Amino acid sequence: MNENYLWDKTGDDAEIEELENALQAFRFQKNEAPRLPAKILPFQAKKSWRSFFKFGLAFAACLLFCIVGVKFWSLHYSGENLTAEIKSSETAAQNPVAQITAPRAENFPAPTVEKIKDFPVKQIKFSRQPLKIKLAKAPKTIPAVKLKNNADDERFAPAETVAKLSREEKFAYDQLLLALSITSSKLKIVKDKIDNSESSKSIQDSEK
Amino acid sequence: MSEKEMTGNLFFLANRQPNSAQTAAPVRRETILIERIRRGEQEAFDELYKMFAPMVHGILLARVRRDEVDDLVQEVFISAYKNLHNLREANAVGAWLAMIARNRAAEFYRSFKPTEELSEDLKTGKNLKNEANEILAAIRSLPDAYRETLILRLVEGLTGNEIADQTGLTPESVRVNLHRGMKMLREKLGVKE
Repeated sequence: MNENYLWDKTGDDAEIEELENALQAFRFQKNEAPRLPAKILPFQAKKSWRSFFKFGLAFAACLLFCIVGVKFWSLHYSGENLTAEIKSSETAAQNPVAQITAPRAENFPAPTVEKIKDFPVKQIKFSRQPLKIKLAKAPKTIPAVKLKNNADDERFAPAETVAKLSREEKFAYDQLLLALSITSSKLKIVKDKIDNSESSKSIQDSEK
Repeated sequence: MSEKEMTGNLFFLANRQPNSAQTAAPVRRETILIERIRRGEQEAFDELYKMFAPMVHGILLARVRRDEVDDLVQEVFISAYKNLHNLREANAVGAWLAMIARNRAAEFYRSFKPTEELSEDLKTGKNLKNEANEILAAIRSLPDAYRETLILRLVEGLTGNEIADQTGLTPESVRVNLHRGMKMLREKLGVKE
């Protein structure tokens, strides 16, 4: 049997040709196609419920994303976030481990939440000249930082100089001091641990 | 980099075709016809009928009585037009028509027994050789896959590639069906002879 002839009629194969001739009587006779309905209406595909479901799902996803974004933005830029920072700074200042020397803080009483909200925002203009902090009288709404005062420490400016800072500068200054106090407390903890471990080690060596 | 190399590179880039043009599949004739039929064009429907009627005829001939095949071919195409909204992929209209033909043949076969088919063929009195009837009966006794493929090849005169293209089968499957079906047919005819 010629496989090529069986596949695409190339070459010759008497047996297959004989079968083709015998079965030719049953072959399809070309005729006219059935007539379509006289009144031909434009074909309208049925709207699949899947496309509607996909559209609804996409809309719901966009809506959810917008809600989450608005919520995140409101939490990040609202006054609640600032209040939380103030509260955390107050709790950190109450930590007895912090022993950072700072200028006198009796001139800066603790602010209230309502006054913090009225905190004005001013543009900071930078100049090429070295920054000279002009100390001004501090307003009453600045949060207080309860820190130990060390008058012998020459690194810190006198209270009169600090009192001349503007409201924003004072707030930034206090935040910086707070961060420094927290950092120093952590460092002190680490230092104590190291000292204790070294001392215990030396005791063990001496016992041996 | 010399001017020659730069010019060569630019020329090479200019002659390169975008990937979308190289890999884009050509639009098949059936796709265009389906779109026109959906708009109600009779000429497009006639052309589709002309393309696939032999295939539908062969599939029905493998399953039902010979004198009922012509009417069933018409019914298959009318049913296809009515259910055109169910066709998702226009390129696969051939396989879709084949499926409709098989389903229609199954509905018809339930109401008629196989023994009646041969008797009806003999009673018609038409000028048909007994040898042709015996060969057709032998082909119909083969498994479905071999029977259908052999009738499309030996009766309708389609090549292997045409059978694969219209029925949606792979060329390899068609080749295997033809080879094995022919082998079994020769054994059946050889036993009788």
